[in-house]
Order: sequence, then C-alpha cells, then structure tokens
Amino acid sequence: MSDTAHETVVDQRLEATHHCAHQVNAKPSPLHRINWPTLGPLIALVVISIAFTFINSSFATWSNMRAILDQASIPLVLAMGATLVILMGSIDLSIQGVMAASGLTFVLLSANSVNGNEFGIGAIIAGLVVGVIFGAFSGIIHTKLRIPSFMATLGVWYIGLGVATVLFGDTVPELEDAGLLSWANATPLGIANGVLVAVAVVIIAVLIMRFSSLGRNALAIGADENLARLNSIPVNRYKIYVFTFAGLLSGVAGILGTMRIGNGIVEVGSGQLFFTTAAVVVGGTLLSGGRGGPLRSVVGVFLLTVINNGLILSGASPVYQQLIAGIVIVTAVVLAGLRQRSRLRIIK
Amino acid sequence: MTVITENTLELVDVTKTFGSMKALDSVNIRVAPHEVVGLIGENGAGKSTLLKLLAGVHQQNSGELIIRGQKQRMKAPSDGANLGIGVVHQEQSLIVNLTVAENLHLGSAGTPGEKRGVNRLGLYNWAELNRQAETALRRIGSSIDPTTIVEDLSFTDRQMVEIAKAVQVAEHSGAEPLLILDEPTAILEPQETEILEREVARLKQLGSVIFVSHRLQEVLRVSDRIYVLRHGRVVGERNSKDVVEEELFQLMTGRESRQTANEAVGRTLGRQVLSVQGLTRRGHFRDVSFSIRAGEVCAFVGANGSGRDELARALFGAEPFDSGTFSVDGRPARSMRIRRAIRSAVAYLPSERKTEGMVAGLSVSENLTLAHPVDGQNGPIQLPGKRRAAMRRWIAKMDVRPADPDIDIARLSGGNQQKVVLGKWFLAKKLKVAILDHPLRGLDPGAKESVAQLIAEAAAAGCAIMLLADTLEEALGNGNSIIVMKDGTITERHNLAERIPALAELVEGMV
Amino acid sequence: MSITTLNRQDKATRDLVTTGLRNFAPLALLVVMLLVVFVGQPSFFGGSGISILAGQAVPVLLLALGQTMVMIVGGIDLGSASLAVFSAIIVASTLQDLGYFAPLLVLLLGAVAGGVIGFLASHFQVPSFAITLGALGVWQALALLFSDATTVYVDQNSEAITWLVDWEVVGLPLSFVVACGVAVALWLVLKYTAIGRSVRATGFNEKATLLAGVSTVATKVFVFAVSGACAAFAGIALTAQQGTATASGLGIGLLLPGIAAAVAGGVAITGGIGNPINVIVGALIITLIPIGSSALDIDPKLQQIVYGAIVILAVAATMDRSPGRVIK
Repeated sequence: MSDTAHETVVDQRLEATHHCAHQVNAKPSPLHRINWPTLGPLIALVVISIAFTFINSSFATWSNMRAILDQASIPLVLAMGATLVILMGSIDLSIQGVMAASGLTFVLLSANSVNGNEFGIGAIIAGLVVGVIFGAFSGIIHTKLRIPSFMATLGVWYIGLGVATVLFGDTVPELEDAGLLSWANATPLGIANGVLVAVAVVIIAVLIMRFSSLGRNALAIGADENLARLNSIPVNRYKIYVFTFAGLLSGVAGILGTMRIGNGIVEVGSGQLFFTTAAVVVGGTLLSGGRGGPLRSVVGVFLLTVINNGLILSGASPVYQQLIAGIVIVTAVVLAGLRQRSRLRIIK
Repeated sequence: MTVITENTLELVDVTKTFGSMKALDSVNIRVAPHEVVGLIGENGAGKSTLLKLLAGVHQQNSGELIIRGQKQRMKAPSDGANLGIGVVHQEQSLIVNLTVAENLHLGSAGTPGEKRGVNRLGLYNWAELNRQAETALRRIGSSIDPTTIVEDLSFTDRQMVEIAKAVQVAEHSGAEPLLILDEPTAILEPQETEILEREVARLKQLGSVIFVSHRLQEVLRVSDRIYVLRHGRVVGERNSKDVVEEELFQLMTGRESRQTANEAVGRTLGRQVLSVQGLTRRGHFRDVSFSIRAGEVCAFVGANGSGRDELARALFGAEPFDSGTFSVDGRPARSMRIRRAIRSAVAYLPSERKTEGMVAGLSVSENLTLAHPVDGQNGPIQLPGKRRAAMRRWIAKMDVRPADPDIDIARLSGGNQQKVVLGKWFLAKKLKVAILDHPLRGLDPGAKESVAQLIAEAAAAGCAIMLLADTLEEALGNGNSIIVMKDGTITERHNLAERIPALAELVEGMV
Repeated sequence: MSITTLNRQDKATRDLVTTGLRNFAPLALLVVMLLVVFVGQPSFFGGSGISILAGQAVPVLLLALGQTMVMIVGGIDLGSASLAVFSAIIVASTLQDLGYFAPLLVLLLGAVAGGVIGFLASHFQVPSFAITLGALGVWQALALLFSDATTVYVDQNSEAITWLVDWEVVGLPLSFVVACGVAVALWLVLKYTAIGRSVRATGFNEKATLLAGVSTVATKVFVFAVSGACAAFAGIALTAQQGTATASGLGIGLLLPGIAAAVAGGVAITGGIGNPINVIVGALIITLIPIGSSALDIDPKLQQIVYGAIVILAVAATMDRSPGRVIK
C-alpha cells in the first residue's frame, strides 16, 4: 500500500533528522569548512612537488612542467565527467570502453590507412556523438531497468570495447590526417592544444556546478535521492543527463588519446579508469555523493600525475603507477568512510 | 455594521477510515483568520491523519472541507498548495548541500516555466534567486543569509527556512496563508523553541496557523484556541487562556474508570537484574536512572522525542551513549556492543519488524535460530533432522501458524512474524533482560494478545522486561511498573502493585 | 479473507513463479543453446566438444562461484579476475621450488588476500565496488611486477598442477569435476552451516542480522576469502591449462564473464539469493558463447558486446525489486 510505503520513508527520514539534529546544536563555525578533506590533497601536492624538486634536478624544469600538463590533460577531461557522476552518488565504470569506441569511430572517419574516409571535423563530431550515445545509454539502462550504476556501466564498458573491437577489424587503422595528428601537441598559443582542451573542460565543469541545474540537481540527488524526488526534481531525467555528459567527455578523451597515439586501438583508454577514480577520490569527492567538486578532482589529478612523473623521472617502472593508483583508491575510500562510521550503518 | 469574516478553514463532520479503522470520526474544527489553533492528543489520536488530510495527501470518506467559505475536495498535495495551505512537516524537507535560496526555489509553487531565477536551459540567475529568497525570508521576519548552505544552519534556522518555504507555497495562491506546523520544535532543544514560538506569533499577522506539538505548555503558549483529539474524535475545544491543564489531561485520555490491576502485578519479583545509573546521550536522553527486577515488566511511555527509543537501543549496544553506567545481573558496563549484550543474555526486539526485526527470505526456523543455537545444535554444522524436531517444538509452543519451519517468514501474517522474531531470543538458555520496542505495534487484536501472552510467560520465567508501549492502556495492561519520559528525562515512576495511576496522570508526565 | 491475506497469497504465487524461473531458466537456456549449436554444427558433440566446453568453463566457473558468495552477501568483487592472474603468476613462478606446495600456498594466499579486502570493506563500512576496484589495480600491478611483465613458463614440477587437465572423469576434465565439487561444497555450506545462514541473512537484511548479534564483519571476511581462494584456484587452473602465466593474459578478460556466469545462474545482485549449483549452468552458458560462435562461424569480435548485454539483462531480470529501495 502506498500509504504504508510512504509512512516508512517518512519515518526513516524523521529518524535520520532526529538523530543528526542533535549532534550539531549550535551554528557551526565557518572554520569547519577548512578541514583535511578540502586542503589535505592540496597540501600533499605542494609537499610532494617540493620534495621531488630536491630529489631530482630534472623535475622543476619547464619541459617537465609541460610534460606534466600533457600527461594530466586526458585524466582531467575524464575526471570532470567522473566527478559529476560521483557527486550524484553513482559511478561510471564505462569510460575506457567509450573512449575506445569513440576513438575508433573518429579514426575510421578521418583520413586513415584502412579506408578512404576523410571527414575532418566531421570525424571529431562523430566521435563525440558516439560518446554521447554511450553515455545516454548507460543512464537509460540505469534508470529504466533500475540496475545499480556500477553494473550498468560495467556492461557498457564491455559493450564499448566490443564495438571498438568490431570497428578495429583486422589491421590497425592509422590516423593519416596530418593536421589532426599533430593538433593535440601543437602549441599555437604556447601551450599544447590538448592541455587547452582540458582547461576548457575544467572551466565548463566548474560553471556547470555553479550555474546550472545539471550540477545543482546532481548534488541534490547525491545528498538524498528520495528527498530530491520529494522536492520535485526529475531525478531520472537528470541522471541520464549526467551520464550523457560523462559519455561526451569520454568521447573527448578518446579522440585526444587517439590523436596522441596516432592509431585507433581498443586499448586507448587503458589504465584510465583507475587513475580517474583514484584522482577523484583522493581529491576529496565522496563516493557516497553530495560532497566534493571539480576543482578538488583537479588537485587529485595533479597529485597523482606529479607522483607518476616523479616516479618515471627516477626510473621506476610504470607498473608502480597502477599499484599506487590501486592503493590510493583503497586508502582514500577507507579514510573517507571513517568519518561516517556508525554501528548500524549498512554499506554494500 | 458588522463585517462577517468567514472562517479560513472549517471541517464539518469529517470522517476518514483506513480499512476497518476509523482514523477520524465526525471531526468538526474551525480556524478563523489570523488565529492560531493548537491540536493536542496522544499518539494515535488522529492528529497526523488530520494534517495529512489538510495537506491533500488523504481524502475524507465523508464530511465537508470548507476553505474560505468554499467547499473543496483535495485530490493531491498540490491542491492544498493552490488553496493557500502550506505545511511544515515533521521531517525535514530541505536538501542540505544546497543553499537556502535554492531550497526556497525548489519549494516554490508553479511550474518550472513559471518560476523565475532559473531559465529554460537550466541556467541559474543567482542574483534573482537570492532576491526572491530574501523576500520570502523577510516576509516571515527572518534575516538568514540566502546564500548559506543549509548544512551550515542551526536547526532553528532550518525550521525558519521550512516555514518560509511553506508561506511561499501558501501565498502563491494569492489568499492569506493557512500554515500547518507539525511538531516544528521536535528537532530543537527545549531552550531553542522560544525563537520558534515568537515566529508563530508573527505568522499570525500573515494568516492562520494550525500548530501541533507534543509539548503541552508550548501549544498553550502559542495558540488562541486548542482542540483535543482522542481516538479520532474531537473531545474538547478550549480557549488557551481559560484552560485548566488537568482538564486537558482528562480530555486527552478519556473519563475511563480506573483500570483494574493486570495479572502481572501480583507476582513476586526477584532481585535487580538491570540497573541503570545516570545514563546520558547528548541530544537524546539525560541522567536516566532506573532498575528492573527479575520477573518485572517495566513499561516505558512517552511522546515524541521522549528519548525512550534511543535509551532502549543504547542498553542493547545498538546505539552509543556518552556517560553513565548500567549493569546486567551485577556486571557493570560503561559502554556496550550488540554481541556483548547478547552474550550477557540481553534481548532486543526492534520496533520496525520488516526492516530490523525479521529477515525476509530466510525460513521460520532460520529466523528462530539466528541469535541463539537451538537445543544443543551449537556447532557450525546444522543437521536438518535434529533441528527440525526442535523447531517444531518451539513453533508449537509459540503457536506460530502455519506450523512449517521451512516456510519463508515473509509469508506469515504480521502477528506470527512477530512471534518468530521475539521467539528467537527465547532460545537462549536463560534470558535475563528483554528490551521490547513497541512489540505490539501494527498487530491485529488477536495477534496482540498472543504476543502479550508470550511476553508475560517470559516474565513469569524470571526475565526482566523493558517494554516500550504504544499506548497508555498497553502499559497499564501489561506492566508491573510504569516509567514516564519526556524530552529525555524520567518525569514519573509508578509501581502498579502499590497504586494504579489514572491515565491523565500519566499523560501529564508525557506532555 | 481479508485484503492482506489475498495480497499475501498473490505475492506468494508470484514469488513461486519467480523462484521457479530462477531455478530452471538457466538450464533451459543452456539446453536451447546446445540445441542451436547441434543444429548448426552436429560434429561438435561427436568430437571432444563437450570436454573442451567443460575445460574452458573452469576458470569462469571458479571466478563465478567466488563472485556468487560475495553477491549473496550483497557486495561485488571486481578484483577477483586480477587476483586470479596474480595467482597464476605466483604458482607458475614457484612450482619449480615448491612443487606440490605451490598450489596450496597460492590458495592460502588467495584466501588471505580476499579476507583482507573483505575486512577493509566491512570494518570500515566502505562500498565493496570501490574497494575491490582498488584491489583490482593492486593485484594487476603486482602480477606485472612479479612477472617482470613477461610470460612465466612452467618447466619443472608441472605435475603438481597438470593433473587437473590430464585426467578425465566421464569424459570431462578433472578440473571441471573438481570445480563442480567446489560448487556443491558451497551449496552445502550455504544450506547447512551457520556461516552459510549468516551469509544469506546478511544479504537479505543486514540490519536485522546485525541486531540479532551476527558478526557481519566475520561473514563478509568469509565470503571475500572464499572469493579470493576461488580466484587463486582459477589462476592455478589457467596455468595448468596453458602451461604458462602472463599478467596480460586471459585473466582480466574474465572479470565480466565471471559476473555474467553468476548472474546467468540466477544469483541476484541485491543479495540473499543464489544457488552455486545453478552457477555451473551459468558458466557453461557463458563459455558456450565463444565456443558455439566459432562452431557456427559467428564473428568472435562480437563476444564482448554479448557479454555486456547479458550482464545488463540478466542483472535486471534477477534483481529483487522491493519498493523503497534506492538504486545508486
């Protein structure tokens, strides 16, 4: 009976209100906003950068700084999408698959070694459209079939890889459009285009969080989905929008990555899921949703990029990057959860 | 020349039934313009049904709803809003990680296209949103900064935002608002309620207010007139200035004759088993001390916010407490965990059977053996044969129907489910303390009797029982003693063997 | 009869239908698929087709069994496939020195690794998908580290593990029979032991289980340890089959098939419900997809798309859909 169902939800929220109400009685001081989750990663970034400067003389050079920016650009793009999804309380595991599908679509429609297409900008747009379609698809499966987002996007990850594999065919499609090949690394404005794209995406993400219902509703849904519904927010619609946005950015990342590599390969997104998730989590956005933001993820991306960069400079194997990313995720998730631990809290 | 002002609201012979239960029975209520009307009554008196009716969540089965002189029939909550009714519910409706202005915007009436501040593309005009929010806040006399994130607000301020939201909704229709405040002070500490009470006085100038609270003094202070509800009926209407409190207690509980003692009362009791000293948990209960003896059923009664639920869970280790001690059978504890409590032969029956009591999906016998192993089946392997025989014995003893140990517990009726959930604790070798949180809630009369019977048997076997009762009648009907709590402290203690208190007396300690 | 009784009877009938479907649909699907293959390629059954199918299914089956236990508790283990790869590398590297102790050691390590993850997830109350995602990265990186990113060959003492693939029982490789034995063992545990009941109880209603005094932390450590041990076993089986172990090998590609096999076997991601014996059927279904496709000359590149679609559809079909549940 809907009455009793409503009662239960109502009672639960009353209980929640009653419980947390009495934990904070006085108006909290503005100082509580300045705390470890916010400043910790930034401080860590500064400290580690200073440490590396002393450890390795080639760290603090212009060319290395440019290299860091280059290495950070694709993760930055992905992290903006991931941040919005995670703020909403969901997760997007599909980014590598979508990158592959978009990247291969882009290559096969540009001037390439396998077919006679030469659509130039049209190829880029097509790649982006593929990203949008995959993102929307993830959102629709999650909301209409009502399966958890990690499951839905896990499936879409593989579907994306599968589509990319089919597109790949038997020989590696090489990008032959000279303009596009070098575009990512060209520096008409002094900084690589790829980095500029990342900066633009970051700015857009910040604007979305501050000034658009896409961002604000995502925050609301992440804080309490049922309460958001009660406040007349069309939750399902906005979930689809957010996943679509993340898919679009996966497309951007896939195209950028393909330009860099010069070929269309299914592994274009390899390792990005870890890196991006680790960056968002270590930056301070909570996996449970509702807390955090794109700028925190920017800090997270740079923190991890600098660590990797330092490791590479000191000759450590790239395998360590993944190891660190994995450990970072586990540690950050455990630490973030510490604050919210309680006896009867149920987390699956 | 007299100006006849129509009533803002009139309920004429309104009746609402759920199935066979009459939640509201021929209720007559009127609210004049610029008047504050208070509603008081015990739990289950019908207050919340009445408010839901006014909010448009329910529809009456018979009777008239007359708003500003016009007969109305509300089909949905939005109808209430269109008629100038704004509701501040018991539970918070604000989204805590958004700003005050956004929450007010979300709560404002009108389609997304009509609302200014966010255009069709979804872009926010913060200046406009903040301006509108300020207008709404000034309207109720609040100076809260609309750019504040709700999380950073004190609870008093959050309630002010809720009120501003409700006023906004109600005034959208153009009429003077009728505001319904449902336990607005429930989440506040007693010292914070003053601000809200002054607010209600201010709201009187804007329109009319219906005020519900479990704190009688509060209701009397803010209202002009009050209605007393009991069993879905209006049993009294008084002017707040002229009222005598004792009369209100009598009205709330009815002029029933003194209850006769229940059987439990005559029993000899054993030594102290549960002894609580100065137990405190900030914000929930303060300096609670009491003791329960073997074989004693101590019934706890209290209204909203009395703290008895949290107290019960703290004694079981399901929730923490800040200071104080308690001991079970002489063994003291400064803190408690669930598993330790169970090892000390303490049991807890949660109030929410479906979400916290039973494990739907497991069979009856699996639910029965969840806490304690059955009759010597101590090992990790549970052989079906022996266990089945033992299960059948238990099921027969408790009269669980259908008597099939392998049936999914979800298929049983509520009463039988409760027997199983309660029953699992009886498998303990010797149960010392049983904390029962509203054990009879939601059960039909026949089931209530059987479960009450099981409780009585447990007491007769020497268990000390802490019973959180739904109704005063339940407390009197099942307990050896009664403890009354209000706003976190114990206000009254009664030993039924010495003297049986009148219902009105009990209510006095609760409100 | 009151309305509530009628509603309950309706629900009981619906539940019976759902349970019936859950139990028998996988088998029905497998039979249909085998028929399709038979029609398209009759020689499949004549030769060693079934034996190959069973042998190939072993790693997926083992991963799926581990996943089943975790899913019944209500969680998910995204790291098991990588743990399998890591285990394969370890066993391949240590066979030379440890002989028969190598697989035993690896099984133990797998259980411990899984148990640690389970403890972190349950004690610190963090979502299992997040922590196992991190674990996935850690195991994969460790696999690369320990193998120096090259293939590890099994030269000596291979008999310690090759008995799994060399011997046959009723025409089926011993590894498959042993894996089925694991499935039966898990079924027995779930049905007849206290810990098995705790696993199901935690999956159905963790709060009520906690309030009854069950240690959900111990329960979760148990299921994740089982998942770890199963993953280790899968790694051993892989090494036995191929005679080599690589960090970039089959392992990582088995993550989704493992989950797909569990879900196709009727395990509900919402918890509480799952029959390990049916997961055998699920694993056969999943393995039949590439084998059957090549027998029928279907493009193998479509496999990943099919797996992804199966997972999505099967999860949607097997979930418990009580009202009020928030799906994140």
